[in-house]
Amino acid sequence: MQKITNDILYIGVNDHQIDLFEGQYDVPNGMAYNSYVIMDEKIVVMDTVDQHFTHEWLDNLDAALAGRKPDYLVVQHMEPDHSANIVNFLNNYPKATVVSSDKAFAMMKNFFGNDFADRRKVIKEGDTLELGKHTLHFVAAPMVHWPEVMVTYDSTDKVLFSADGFGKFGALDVEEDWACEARRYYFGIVGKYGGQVQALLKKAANLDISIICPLHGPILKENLGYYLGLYNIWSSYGVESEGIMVAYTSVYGHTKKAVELLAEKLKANGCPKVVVCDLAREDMAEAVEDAFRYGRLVLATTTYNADIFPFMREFIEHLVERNYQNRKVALMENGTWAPQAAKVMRGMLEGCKNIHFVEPVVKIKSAMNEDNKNQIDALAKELCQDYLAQGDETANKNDLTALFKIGYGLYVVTSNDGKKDNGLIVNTVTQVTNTPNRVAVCINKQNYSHHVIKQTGKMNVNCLSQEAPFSVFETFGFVSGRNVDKFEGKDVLRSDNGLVFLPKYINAVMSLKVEQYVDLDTHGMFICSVTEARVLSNVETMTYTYYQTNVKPKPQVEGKKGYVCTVCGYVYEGDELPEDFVCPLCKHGAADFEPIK
Amino acid sequence: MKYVCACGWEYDEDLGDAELGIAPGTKFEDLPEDFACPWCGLGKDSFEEE
Repeated sequence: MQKITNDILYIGVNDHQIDLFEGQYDVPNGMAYNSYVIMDEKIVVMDTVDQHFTHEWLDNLDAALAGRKPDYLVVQHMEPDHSANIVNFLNNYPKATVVSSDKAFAMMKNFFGNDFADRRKVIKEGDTLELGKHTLHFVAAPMVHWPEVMVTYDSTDKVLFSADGFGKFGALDVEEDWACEARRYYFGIVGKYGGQVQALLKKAANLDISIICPLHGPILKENLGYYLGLYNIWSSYGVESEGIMVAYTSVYGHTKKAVELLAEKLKANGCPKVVVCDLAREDMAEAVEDAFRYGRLVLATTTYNADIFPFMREFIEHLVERNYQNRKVALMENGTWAPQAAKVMRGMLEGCKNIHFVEPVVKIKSAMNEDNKNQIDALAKELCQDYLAQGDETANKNDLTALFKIGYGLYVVTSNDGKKDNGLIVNTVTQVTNTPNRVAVCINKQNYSHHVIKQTGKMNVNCLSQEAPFSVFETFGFVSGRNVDKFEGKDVLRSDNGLVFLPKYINAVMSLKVEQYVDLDTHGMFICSVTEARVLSNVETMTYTYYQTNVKPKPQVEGKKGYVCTVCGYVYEGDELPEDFVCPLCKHGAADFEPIK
Repeated sequence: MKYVCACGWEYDEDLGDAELGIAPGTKFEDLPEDFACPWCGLGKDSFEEE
């Protein structure tokens, strides 16, 4: 008889006869149906066991009771592997009362034709049951993973009876790793109800728990943070382990060959773990568990009956049913005359939240050819982009496109040369200190504004909002204020320093006084104090990314040959772009041009 | 519009729910904040638009 605490005894059973748990899960190490007795002034039995173990369980119970009789049977969950012996128990102990939720009693009526109206105690969330020394607190856990489920907290011994939560496959007389079979159990059985598990974990966070007693698998006594942490990741659909899962089916081995090449390349590109799974031959529940364990999934299959190969269809259905989400997914398809597996797979995953499809799709026609090998190479690089960049050996340490990842806003900087108002577009405005507030503004020396601000020592920074149309950038961006009056004919507003600010399309304006000048060869950096600051709207600030995506018109390159400026869209027509070419519109150099395709 | 609870119970705005005393045409968003699914007891945030 296993003692969990001085008063709590284990009376569960191990099942090594079972072929498939819940009619579908292969359990090579059997199953445990846990049941517990709390010995106090009043005696409580926590749940019963599967129908095949009536006598073994009743014997265990009898031994634990040592001649006494139980007062209560607490029923936390009505699945038959835990509830099958309710009637046998009540026949054996005619004075005992059943304690459960109203929903569970309704299910008893359906299962047994009896809801024990004359000998029951209906409890709900927050109710307690006093046993003498021990007090049981009942916590509703609806849809984890049935509606009637509740868990029970013994505040005396700090024990959480967690129903199916924290359970696993495997009998208790077999030693094995907890996480693998607990994960397979969780995603197989509870996976769909992540939100409901999260709600239960939040309730559990308020309890001081020393021991978790689940209805399957071992009693958890140490390092509970580890188990709770995994449950938090699983139920929030987070990524537990770095690596990539490649799930495939192959009819004659051609798709398998492509998968093997991909796996090899993924490893070569620094992927820390590559799990390859043949869905027709390996355990489906384990495949499902791995899809949720890793953050990246490759699906490779053949076109079959104008659809996809059945094992792949089944696999994706399992994922979709369980709210598969927050993952990167890549597709590989094979088809001899009309490949369409990628389209079908993509369609099946369409309703899933936050799925990012990784390109390219590998499209094999019967057998892998050179093009396919190149696609697989490109896909492996794309899937492993961060692994490659993290590795000391594999990283490109001179990838200056990193600079493009710096976030910038867009601003109109206004100034006055004594004769007329001027303005230009700048993206290099940054607050650099806060006591006192100092703002740095960097301007190309070729711009007339640089010359003016250097002489006058003041400027206004107008923060463009997302409402600013392209015309604002045309007005202030691509022409010089030396030759053009950018405010000609416009009614202007002025701040206290006498400089203009824009009447619309901005969310704030700051008047700056230059305190320091730093010569940066091509550019000058003005470090300024803030003399005035106004907020004009709460529309989001226009970032450079927003401008590129939403505001800037796509360059008109159709029918033209030559090069296009990626900054402003200016088109240079000609076969060769001179190396020292400078864009006449935005003054960016040849490096910012790309050939028109 | 129809809304489905995590347990599978469905609320149809057009029909309301006679057993729960909810008039036909009652919008899901107009159900009380403490509305609980009659099957499983979960709250409104466990429902998804169908």
